[in-house]
Amino acid sequence: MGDVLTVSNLTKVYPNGKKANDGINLSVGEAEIVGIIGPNGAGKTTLIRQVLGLLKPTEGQITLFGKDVTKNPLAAKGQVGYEPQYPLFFPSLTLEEEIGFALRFKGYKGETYKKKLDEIIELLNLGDVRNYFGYQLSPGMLKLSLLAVALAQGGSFLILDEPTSMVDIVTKMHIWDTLAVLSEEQSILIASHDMNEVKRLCNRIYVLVDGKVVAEGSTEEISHMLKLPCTMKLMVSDVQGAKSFLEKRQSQFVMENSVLDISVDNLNAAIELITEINRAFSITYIELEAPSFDKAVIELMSDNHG
Amino acid sequence: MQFKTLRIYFLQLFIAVFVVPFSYAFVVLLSTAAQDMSISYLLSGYVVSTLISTFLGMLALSITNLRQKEVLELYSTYAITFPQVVISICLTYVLIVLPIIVVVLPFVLMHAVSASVLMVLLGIIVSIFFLLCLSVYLGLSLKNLFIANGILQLLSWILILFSPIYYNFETLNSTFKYALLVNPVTHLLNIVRIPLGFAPMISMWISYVYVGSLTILMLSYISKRVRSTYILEKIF
Repeated sequence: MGDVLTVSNLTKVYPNGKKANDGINLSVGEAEIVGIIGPNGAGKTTLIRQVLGLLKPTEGQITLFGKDVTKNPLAAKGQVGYEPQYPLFFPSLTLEEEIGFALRFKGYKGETYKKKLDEIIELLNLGDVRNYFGYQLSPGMLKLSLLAVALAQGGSFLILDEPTSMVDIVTKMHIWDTLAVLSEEQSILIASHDMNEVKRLCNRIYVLVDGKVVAEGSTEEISHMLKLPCTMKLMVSDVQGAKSFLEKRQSQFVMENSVLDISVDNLNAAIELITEINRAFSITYIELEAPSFDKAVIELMSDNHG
Repeated sequence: MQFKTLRIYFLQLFIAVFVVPFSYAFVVLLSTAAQDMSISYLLSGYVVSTLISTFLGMLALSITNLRQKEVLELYSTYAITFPQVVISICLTYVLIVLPIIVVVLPFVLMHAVSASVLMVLLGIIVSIFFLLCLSVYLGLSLKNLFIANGILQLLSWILILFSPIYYNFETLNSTFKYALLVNPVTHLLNIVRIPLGFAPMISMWISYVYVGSLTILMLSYISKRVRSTYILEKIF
């Protein structure tokens, strides 16, 4: 499968001298969800804006659907659906009109227009607010309306800048499921702060810090990049007994209320310890991530943050 | 789309299109000065002041608003380009003022001493095009929306007040006449009113050259700014 997007050696220096992107290499394949994760100011939105032809790259090359966007920023205009980071809206347009105009610009008319409009509104559960004006919607709903416009804008590539920020957890899960279904036919590039989001959705992830890609790979690959302790949270029937047991064993742990937060060197040691604790004190709740993607990303970010 | 985006600003639009130009005309009609002027003179002035009030008061502000980072980013979610948005905004405002022109123009022609209809129409078309260019030029030049709001209102007031829209050019002293001739609106009035049989303030062709030269200068600036595809580039 060919790449929908290829970014080579991309550097962006703003007029004030700030280097927002520094030699970034990135690609998105067909029917692939790629995530960019990084702290605030890492250069995620700058990267997206260059891909969309809204900002001029200082150096490097961007190829979208085989067309050089650095030479002709409008080459792929209309082929990419884009959801901006902020909850932007037209105060005078209803949600239905906002989505409808995107469809009309794409050439939808008559019955096919109505069908597509209803399909998008239904897909994102926006039926109850379809006749609401932009100023009447909550930030979460506005983000959903932008996602709806991006879907209406369609094409085979979606660029989503923090697609589920400001959205409640139930809607968030629904969006994740929707994106997972869409990814069977569409390529998606997601910039996000939400580790659960990228973990759940993305085939590949780029960790961006201070404008540079500091790690790249699947969730598993990134998790294994650093030797990190395995962490687990436990609740047991006899918490005091378990505490004494861990103290005697000289294990690394913290007790918060009745939750034991334990760190061990590796997954095998964790399994052994869990078996022993369960036998003696009956585990009632367990949360284990080994190796921890979240910790690996946080570690990568702190190590590389200038 | 542009019409629908304007519905929340209906009252502002009503004020810019009807209330402001009509209030000037109303004051003149109440004053004794109106007795010396023909209806044709006042109504032709009313048409030009409507164009100024609508284009500078609303259109220019829409263009400044369009250049705000968040608005540019919002439009970028659609399959349309920046020049297409600017053109559609301009067409929307032309369509808003067109009914007023269509209604008022027959009265202007009916009460004119002598009328060359084609030249009057040409004068109005040139006025519309010039004021569109001026509004887009100002809209693109002003970055801060809040400052632009004040500047554009002040500028429309200056352009209307310092041009013989509702008073007679002939009765003014020569220094003031020269000062008024700097104002392009005076020339727009000249090219509309000469074909209606009114005395020229200056040769009609000088007015055409003056207005034409300014239009070319503004168009070259507009074309450069509008064609820049990296629409967010200058914001940062």
